[in-house]
Parts: sequence; C-alpha cells; structure tokens
Amino acid sequence: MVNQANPTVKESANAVTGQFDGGGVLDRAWDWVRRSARDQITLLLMILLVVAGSFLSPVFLTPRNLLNILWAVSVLGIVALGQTLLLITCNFDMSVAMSVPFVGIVAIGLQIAGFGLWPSLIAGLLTGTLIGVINGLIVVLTEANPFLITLGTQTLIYAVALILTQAKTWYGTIPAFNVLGRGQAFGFLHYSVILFLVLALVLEFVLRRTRYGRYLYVLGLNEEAGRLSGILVKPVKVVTFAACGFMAGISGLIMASRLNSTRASGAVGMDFDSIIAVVLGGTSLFGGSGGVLRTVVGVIVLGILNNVMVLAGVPYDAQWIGKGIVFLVIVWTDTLLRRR
Amino acid sequence: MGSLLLRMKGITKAFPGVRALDEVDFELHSREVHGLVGENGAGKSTLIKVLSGAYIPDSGEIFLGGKLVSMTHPSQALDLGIVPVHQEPNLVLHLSVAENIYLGRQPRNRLGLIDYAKMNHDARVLLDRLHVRISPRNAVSDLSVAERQMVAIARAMSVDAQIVILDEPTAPLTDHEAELLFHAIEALKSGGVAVIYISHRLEEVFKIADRVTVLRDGRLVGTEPIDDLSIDMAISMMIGKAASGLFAKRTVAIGEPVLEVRNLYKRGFLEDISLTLRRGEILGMFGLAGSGRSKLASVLFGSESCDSGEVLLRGKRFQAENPAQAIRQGIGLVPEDRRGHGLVSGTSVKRNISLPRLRELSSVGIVNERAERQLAKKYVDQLQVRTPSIDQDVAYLSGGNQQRVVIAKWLATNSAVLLLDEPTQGIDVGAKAFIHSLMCDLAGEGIGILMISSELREILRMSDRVLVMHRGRITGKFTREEATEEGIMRAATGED
Repeated sequence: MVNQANPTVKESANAVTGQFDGGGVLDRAWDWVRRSARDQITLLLMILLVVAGSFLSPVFLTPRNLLNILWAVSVLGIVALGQTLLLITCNFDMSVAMSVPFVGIVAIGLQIAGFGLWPSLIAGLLTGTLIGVINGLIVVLTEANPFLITLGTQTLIYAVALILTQAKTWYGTIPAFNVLGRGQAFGFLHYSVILFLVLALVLEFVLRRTRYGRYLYVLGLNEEAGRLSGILVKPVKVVTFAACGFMAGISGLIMASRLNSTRASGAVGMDFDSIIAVVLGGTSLFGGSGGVLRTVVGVIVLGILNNVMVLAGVPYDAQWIGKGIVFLVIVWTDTLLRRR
Repeated sequence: MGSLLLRMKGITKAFPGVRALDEVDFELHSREVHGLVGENGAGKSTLIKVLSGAYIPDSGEIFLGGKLVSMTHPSQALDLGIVPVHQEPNLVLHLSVAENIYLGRQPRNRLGLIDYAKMNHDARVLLDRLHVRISPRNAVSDLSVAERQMVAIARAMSVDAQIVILDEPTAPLTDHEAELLFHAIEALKSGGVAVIYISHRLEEVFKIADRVTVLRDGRLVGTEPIDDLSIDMAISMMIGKAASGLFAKRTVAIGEPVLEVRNLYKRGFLEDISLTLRRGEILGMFGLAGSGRSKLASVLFGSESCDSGEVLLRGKRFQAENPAQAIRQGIGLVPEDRRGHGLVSGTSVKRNISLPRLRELSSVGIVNERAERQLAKKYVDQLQVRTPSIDQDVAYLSGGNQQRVVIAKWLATNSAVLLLDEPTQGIDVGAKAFIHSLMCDLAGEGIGILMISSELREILRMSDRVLVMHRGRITGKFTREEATEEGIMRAATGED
C-alpha cells in the first residue's frame, strides 16, 4: 500500500546512509561482499565453462584453441573497450552494431573506387570517429537517453549502409588489406589480438592515471557534483563517444579485413554483446566503477562461452540462447548488487 | 486537552560521533497541539523519526494509549495511527485529490471497481472539515504546496490518525496559506487528534500550540504549557544559559572589493541584484526558501546563466559561463545539497579534494599522484577531517566531516571568493563551531565570503554585513550593528 506517511525514497536512503554514515564496519563489510560477489559470479562462470569445455573436447584446452578464442573475440573486444569508457560515465553506444560494418563499407568502398590501402584505412577510422562525435553531440545537446539516441543513429547508419551497398556484400580489392585481420606475429599470434591487448593496456593507463580518466568515473558517480567542481561535462562526453567510435572504427577495419568483405548487417548483435562483455567483466551498468582490463576478462569469458557451445554442437542460431541467458543473469545481478 | 495519549520514556539514540537523543522524555495528550522546538541538531527530527518508526532507539520505551509499543518500520507507526505529514508531501501528481487521499484504499462498488462517486463525496466531507476549498476531482499537479499539504492532512484524517506530525510545514507557505493551515490544525484538534508541530518560527508555535517541548543538544530541556512561557524564555531554553558550543566571531581587517555585482537580472528569479563583497568580509545573505539566494550563488558560479547585469571580480568584468571558468578565476561554491552537489560519493576523500584542482595537479594530462596525496593530506590535517585515511570513501564520513571535505576542495584551489550555501545545515554543534571558526580564519587570509543561511542566529553571529532577499530582490541591507532578528525577518517576508 502506498501511503502518504511512508518516508520518501530519499529519506529512507538517509535512514540508511544519512545519520548512520559514520557507521562503518557493517556497511563496509556488506559493501565488500557486494563488490566481490559481483566478480565471483564471472569467475564461477569461467570455471564452469572451462570445466565443461575440457569435458566436451580434448582440443579445448590446447594453446591453439585458446589463441583462436582470443582471435575470435578481438573484434568484439576492441568495441567493448570503447563501450567500457562510456559505461563508466553511465552512457551507452548502441550504434556500434551498425557503425562497425559501415566502417568496413567505407574502407572497402574506397578500395573499389581505386584508392590505396592507407587512405582507405584512415577514412575508415575517421568515419568511426565521426559517428562517435555525432552520437556524442546529439546526446549532450538533446540530453535525451543515450541508449535510445544511439539506437536511433544505429538505424540511420544501417539505412545509409543498405542504400550505399544496395544490400550487397562488397569485397576488398587490395591483398595487403588482409594482413590486419589474418596476419600473425611469430606465426601464432594474430595482429588483431596484439592490437586488442595493447589498446586495453593503453586505455587502462588512461583510466587510472590521467585527468580525463578520473573525470569519467566522476561523471558516472555524480555528474552534477563533477560539473560544480569544474569538469566541462559536455566536451568530456563528446570525446568519450568519439573514442568509442574510434574503437568501432578499428574493429570495423579488422572485421572487414578478416573476411576481406563487408555488408550492412555484418555485426548484428554487437551492441548487446559488447555491453554484456563489459558488465560481465565487472564494470557496473550504473556507471562510476570498472575498468578496461576487466572488460578483457569479460570478452574472453564470452569467447569461451561461444567456443564451448560450438564444441558442444549447439547450432548457431541456438547459441544466442546461451548469450541471452548470460545477459539476463549478469544484468540482474549487477542491478541487485550495485544499485546505489 | 484530553487524556495522556503518548508517552516516550528515556529515548536514547546515538550515531557515530554524536548522541542525537539522550534520555529524552516526551508526553502527548489527545486534543493537543504540541510544539517541538530546538536549534538545528537539537534532536527534533531524530525524536520524530523514532516516533514514526524510521529509527529504532538504542534504549527507551514508547507507550501509546498506555500500552508499550515497539516499532521497527514506518508502516507499523502508520498502523498505530501515527502519521507524519511532510513539508512537501509525496503525492501522486497526476492523480486526483480524492484518489490521493484514498490511495490504495479506494472504496469499491459491487463490481469491484472504484466507486468514484463515494470516494469523491467522502473526500469532499474531509476537505470541508479542514475548511479547504479544493475540488476532490482536481489533479494534485495543479495544486500549490499549501494545498498539497492539506491533501496530505486529509489523508491522515481518512486513516483515523491519532497523532499527526507536522515538520516545518509553513516554511514553503505564504502568510495567508499558513493561516489556512492553522485552521486545518484546529479542525484536526477538535476531531480528537493530537498534533506535534515542529517549527523554527516561534511566533507560530506560540499562536497555535497548547504546550511546548524544548530540546537542546539531544537532551530534554523542558515541557511547559504555552501560557507559562514567553518567546524569550523559549529562546533561552533553546540556546542554554552557558551558550556552550557557540563560537564568537573574530573581526578581521576588511580590504578592497573583490566581487561586485551590478543590476543582475534573471527572469523569474533575480531582480536588480547589486552587492559588493570585500576581501576579509563575511557577507551574510538571508532569505526564506525560494527567495532566490541559492539562484544568485548559481549565477555567480557560472552554473546558471543570467539575463543581464554585470559582475566584477577584482575590479575586472567577469561573467562565468560555466563553473570551470569561475573556479579558474578563484570562486568556490559550497552548495546547499552537500551529498547531491558537493561530494562525489563512491570515491575517496583525496579524490574529492583534488577534483577542482586536477588541471594544476597534472602534466600532459597525467595526474601527479604524489602531489595529489600531499595536497589532500595538507587539507585533511588543516581542517581536522576525521577520516581513517585519505583513501576513505567520503560516503562513510559524518555530515560535519563531509562538509570539511567540500570546503577543503576550495581551499586547495586558492579561492578568492567563497560562496557558502547553508554551510552548517544538518551538522552537529561541534562541527558547526569549527566551521564558523574556519570561516573567520579564511576571512583573515583575505578571502571574501558570501554566506547564505536560513538560520537567523548564524547570520547575526557571523556576518559583517547582512543582505536579505525576498522574491528575487534584495529587500534589506544591514550593518552588523544594525542587524536585528526582527528587522531581518521583516525584510525577508517582504513586510517593509
């Protein structure tokens, strides 16, 4: 029953944190449990998957298979790194599912039109970044929900991609383009895997040590307090959307290069997949915490999940069920444990 | 006044660092309006929260109608007929008045559908008893704050409340609306309900209360029939003879103007505001809620824009477009909403203090963490912030210590002008004295301080000069010597 005399939500919150705030030991213990429980769920999932994988197939635990998993997830992984920056600030970019293939369309399209390798790569990166800037500008100018805004731009990009390609698959014309997606260092480590891990390390440094990184966490925790402490909120947000777009650009180039082809619907599901990976790693849906190294873990767990489902002979379409369940469970637990 | 209805005996409630209630006894009769007064932090709210089940007391007993009751949740207090009415009631805005009064208990007809005719009729009867002229069919969103309070009171009557608690109900009301509220309170009383009335406005308490209970520093000072008391006596009971915990202002040399505001307008909020703040000066700004005082601070800090007018900082024209610019020019704001706007909960004391200064603390975008630690340590020591370490999450600090952290942010940026909006609201007496003393130290260093406060005695005690705002205008200017409680109140209510 809703009743007038019930204290407002704010007051109930005060009853917990307000006057009790010195309150310490129990609060902090509960806080620790919440935080670590969140991580242990991912750890548990990983152990279950590894055990299942090694029972299902003797090849699962071979270095070759594990490296393949890394290679398979690196495209998603790079997008998820960018998505992590946004989630820390309590923003989302759903447009990545369409901007990733669109970047490929731009790059391969230029190759078809006769441009060289480097111009096509640079144009691809610029396209991704530009899409990010546009997303960011719309979000800060309209102050509308970033989730819905980027779903809107996703549809727009898809439409443009369909019109440009006339819904056909385009093929690359420059053999060297293939190196980015398929090339290996030392004969076993794909360049795209190296790129993924190096980018993760760079972004982790940015988050931990730079002023910009600090600002991202503050925006996720309390945007207004951040603004009143001198953070230029709008530019920081636009830059972060741009960074996510740039990462989508890199990812799109790798994806196109790996297949040496591209089509408008080439990354369907990457919007949710990237968010699952980020949250699976332990970055909160509610912003203010997390990091990109956590996302690397999340991406790998997701990769193992896919791999195990393949080894178990789960048909491709049914594999979505596994991802769907993981998504629901992880969103539920994050909400349960993290909501502030 | 009827028979003994409620007896609270030896209520004690402690929070870390402060004993909010210490062996407090409180008695309430039926058909009584009982005034509850005391300074901020005296324990009024805590006592009320204990009575309404929001806090569980550490010790003490509550007897209702002679029976011992124990409450662990507000819903239990409601079931016993103890109904708090909030200053700004949380009603469902898009529902009608009658629907809000009977929310969750709507009368049904034989088909199990809501019987609107009966509900509207019953609501009409209740509102008539309160002498309120609003239609039960009106949407609550169309009502004024005063009318919403009436709806909440009608709801309390509809659940057969025995005790209705009103906490500072007149703060957002005009004088006329307050009169209507007093009529409604009389109606409640004649209906057999006991009313607990909390207010800073002693004149009101003396007008409507039958008895008054005074609290000070969490202790009961006394309960007296209103006829045996005068306002002066009540005030001296509230303050205490010894006047302990009060801080005496130190006067410092006042220098040249540091901040000048000329003819500032912001449509609907600020009208023709002009003021001068000098180095070393504490300029008190008094005004009731909605008078525009916090708006003025927001405009000066660049957090909101104004329509016209001129601001001079150290003699140079300056209009901040955003807080970042204001901060760079040496303006700091300690906002009224400490948790919502002043602090970033979930992150450390260190990172809160360094936040406005990160630009200076970093080179090529990388934060110099050693310099950051030193800076945080320095101000934690200087302001005696009680925290286990500078890496502690600010959410775990007490209100007084949180406020020290907010102030430390602006000391770390070497501010020349500090805008303090309700700097001591909701913090305990000791921390308050410390912050007052600190303000004098800062003034002594040549900082100009604009102190916004709705606590008259804080204004009188700390200010070198006092400005009073009412409906977006400055309606009173006083020197420290001229300023009196009465004069300020008259200006604040627009009576001059």
